[in-house]
Amino acid sequence: MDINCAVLTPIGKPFEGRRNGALSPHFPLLALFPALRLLSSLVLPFMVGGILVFFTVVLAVKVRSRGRRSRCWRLYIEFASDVFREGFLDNQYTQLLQLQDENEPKFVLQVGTLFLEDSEKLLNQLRGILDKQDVDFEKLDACVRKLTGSSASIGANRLKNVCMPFHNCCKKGSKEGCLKCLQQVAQEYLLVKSKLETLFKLEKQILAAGVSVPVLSLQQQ
Amino acid sequence: MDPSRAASTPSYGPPGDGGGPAPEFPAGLRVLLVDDDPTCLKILDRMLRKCLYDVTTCSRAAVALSTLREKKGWFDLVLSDVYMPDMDGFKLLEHIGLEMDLPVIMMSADDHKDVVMKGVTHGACDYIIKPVRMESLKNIWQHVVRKKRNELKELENSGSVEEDDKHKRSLDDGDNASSGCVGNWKNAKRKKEEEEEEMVEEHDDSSNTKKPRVVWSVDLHQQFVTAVNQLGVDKAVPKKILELMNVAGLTRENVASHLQKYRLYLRRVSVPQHHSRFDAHFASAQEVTYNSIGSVSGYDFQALAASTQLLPHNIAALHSGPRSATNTGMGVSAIDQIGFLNSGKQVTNSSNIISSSVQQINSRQMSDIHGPSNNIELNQHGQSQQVVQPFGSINRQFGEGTTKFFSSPSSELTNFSLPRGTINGQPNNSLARHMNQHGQQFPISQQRSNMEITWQGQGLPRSRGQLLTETACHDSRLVSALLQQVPSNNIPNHVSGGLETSANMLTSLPANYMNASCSTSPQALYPDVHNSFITGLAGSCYPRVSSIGATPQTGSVKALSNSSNLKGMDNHVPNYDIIAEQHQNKSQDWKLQNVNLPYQSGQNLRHGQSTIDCRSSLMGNQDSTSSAKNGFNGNAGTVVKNIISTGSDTDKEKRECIVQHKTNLVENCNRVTYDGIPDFSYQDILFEDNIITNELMNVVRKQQQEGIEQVDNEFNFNPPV
Repeated sequence: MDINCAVLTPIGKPFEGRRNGALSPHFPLLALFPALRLLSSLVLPFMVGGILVFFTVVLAVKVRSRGRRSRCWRLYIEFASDVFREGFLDNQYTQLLQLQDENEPKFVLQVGTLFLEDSEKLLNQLRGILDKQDVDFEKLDACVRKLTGSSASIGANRLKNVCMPFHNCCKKGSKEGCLKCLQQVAQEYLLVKSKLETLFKLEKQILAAGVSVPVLSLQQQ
Repeated sequence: MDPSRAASTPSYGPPGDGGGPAPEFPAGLRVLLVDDDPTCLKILDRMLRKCLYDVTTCSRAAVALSTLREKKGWFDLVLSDVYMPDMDGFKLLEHIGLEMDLPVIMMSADDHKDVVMKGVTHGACDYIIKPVRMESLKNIWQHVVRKKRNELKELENSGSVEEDDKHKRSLDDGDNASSGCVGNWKNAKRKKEEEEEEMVEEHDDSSNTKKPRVVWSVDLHQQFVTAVNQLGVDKAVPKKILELMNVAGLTRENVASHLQKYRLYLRRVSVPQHHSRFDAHFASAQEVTYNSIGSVSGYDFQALAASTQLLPHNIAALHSGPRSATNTGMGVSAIDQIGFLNSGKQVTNSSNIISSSVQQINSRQMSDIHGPSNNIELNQHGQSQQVVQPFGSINRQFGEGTTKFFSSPSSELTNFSLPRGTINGQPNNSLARHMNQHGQQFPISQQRSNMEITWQGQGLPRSRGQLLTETACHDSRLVSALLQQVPSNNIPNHVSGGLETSANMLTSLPANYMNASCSTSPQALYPDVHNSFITGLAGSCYPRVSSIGATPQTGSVKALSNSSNLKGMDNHVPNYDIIAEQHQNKSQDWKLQNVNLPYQSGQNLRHGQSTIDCRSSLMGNQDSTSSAKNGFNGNAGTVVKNIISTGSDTDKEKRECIVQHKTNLVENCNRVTYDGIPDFSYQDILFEDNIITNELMNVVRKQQQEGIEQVDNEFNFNPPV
């Protein structure tokens, strides 16, 4: 099957083209292939959803003497591409990036932070409910639903996907199933948390370097 | 709407009702956002502001509700999450719809079909699946516009004249989304709000818990009225009504609230002097009930029309009364009125009235009898309550033995503020006929016709009556013809004491009628309608029909009464012819009017008489007339046509008249605010369709030149408060 790749193009920044033969600064395409294969399986849910069919990752990096700035920028782009490729975040996130402008330059940062905090609380709540002898599945379901909504809104796709079976377990009333799901959810949460935090950090670095953060956009191919 | 229209750059701007220039639509749309998830809340808030909307956020439903209550009219749209801790989103949705009637959009990550269906059934305008994208939010303004449009339509139907008219025009200009809307929707909104408050109150009265709204269609209302009449207005209890109606999905509460409104309507209708908004009010106040009422009145109207052949005129009148929210109510409303009249009262009274004195009948009957039917007519014209009342009151009187209707017919007649007031004559005929068939309705129809005739002459309030009156006025001859017909019918029905008076009235009615220059033809139609309506009325009780025969018929009255013999509807036909002939001459408008009213309801005017048959068939066809674009028009038009055509050779003529008239009527109706006229479908019917508006307008204008006041002028009925 075709490789699903996410095309990530920085749109906020003109780039001067690719450096010839310099694969090291950016991920080698070859190296990408295995990752891409892996990616396809990862983004299978994506495909199933039928939202994003094909993605190609294109890294456009300025190589020349941006130096630190370009390096930061590059890192950012690369990392972001990775994140998207692996399905941690989807185009909803890019939409949020587009909402960011001069009026609200830190919008995504704020929202992301808010999301992480809120999700943490929800997870704790879930744990608390499942810890009890008598599991209140209604309450559990409500929490899961909330988590699903949050992750969907922020674009945390994988997290949202693992919430679905959790929701089903709640409906069935199976405590064991719920516990298992909770584990998965917790795991995904930690992953997306680290990705987001890294992204934010890289953004900070770019800004510190005096470069404007590129606005990523997913392109379908 | 394209924001790009405005040259100015869109800005957030102050709230719509704030100071300063209104932002370019849809910028500045005031949205209330309710979501317990802070992440979603923040994201949506940002997105909405990016769309240049004016956003207020709430994380709790209770807070949102209190905010909405405190700041009524402050918001245009509500966006709410489905799953919230303190209150279910659907419950909030219900509350908002019930109290503020704002468009509400639900959101959730849950995309299961049953949840979405729940949103729909609870009245949500839209259901958005999370994650919410910008594109989805960009177009939410459409729900606001749509709702406003619908409300305007309803208001117009219920007789709010100018405002709606303007709005309608502006809206119809095809630029809802454009600047046309900009100025308008704010004004409309305000006006609507004022009017809505009345409605809302009524709505609130009706149900504690908001359920999916029951739409009281014309048919449903007819059934309701039938049931009520069977039981007796005073004795009717929701439970029994429900049983009689035997409609699936209707709850006792629905019926109870509707009954309450109906009773209010009747009360209003019984007072001729009251602001003409009875019907309109009644109708407009309750969107839902309108239909039902309208259906009722339509029914009456039709019956009346059928019997008295006042068709166009009467029908219109009738319809104007009880405007049902749905246009279909028109016919129904008329009929309802008739039915109402008939069932509850002694039909004979009506007939008597007619015979005795047309005028009296008109005024009186209109005021009294009409009750419902009055409303129809009155409603439309607002002012014409009197007119309507007589009709309705006739019934009432009959049943209740109120002779007041009868006693002071003359005075009453004059009371009709209906400018045209000529409608009355006709219905009688139809009623008579109709009643013959049923044996009961006849009297009522007669009354109706009587009332109508006189009604018009009296200068009944125009709102509804304008249309009616116009037609009525035009054909005074018809009126007289009708009167003749009517008397026979009405007289018996008419209040016992007033037989002679009614007869007199009838005679006078024609006179008035003539004076009023209302075309009788509509009446002719009306009677037919009535008749058919009456026949269609199942179980409607027109007990007095038979008694009418005795009505003294003065010259013209006699002629009229021919058809209106309660005993046999067949008479109706002859009358109709008479009227038709007369009608031919002028009252094109009439026909339209009359037709519009009662025919809407799908009554089978299966009347023995050709006219009636025609009518019924017409009614069935809803789009026979050219103007039959909207259901109402179609019905009315068809009905009118049928009525007219069936009876006479002037079908075509009549048809045209009718069509024209209908449009006029419709137009008039649109502008007329039915005051106090309870849900006469008539009004709704008339107003709903703009199709015939133009035509009607033309016809109306012509009529106006004949001495009838501008319909438009007349129709400044204030919506019933």
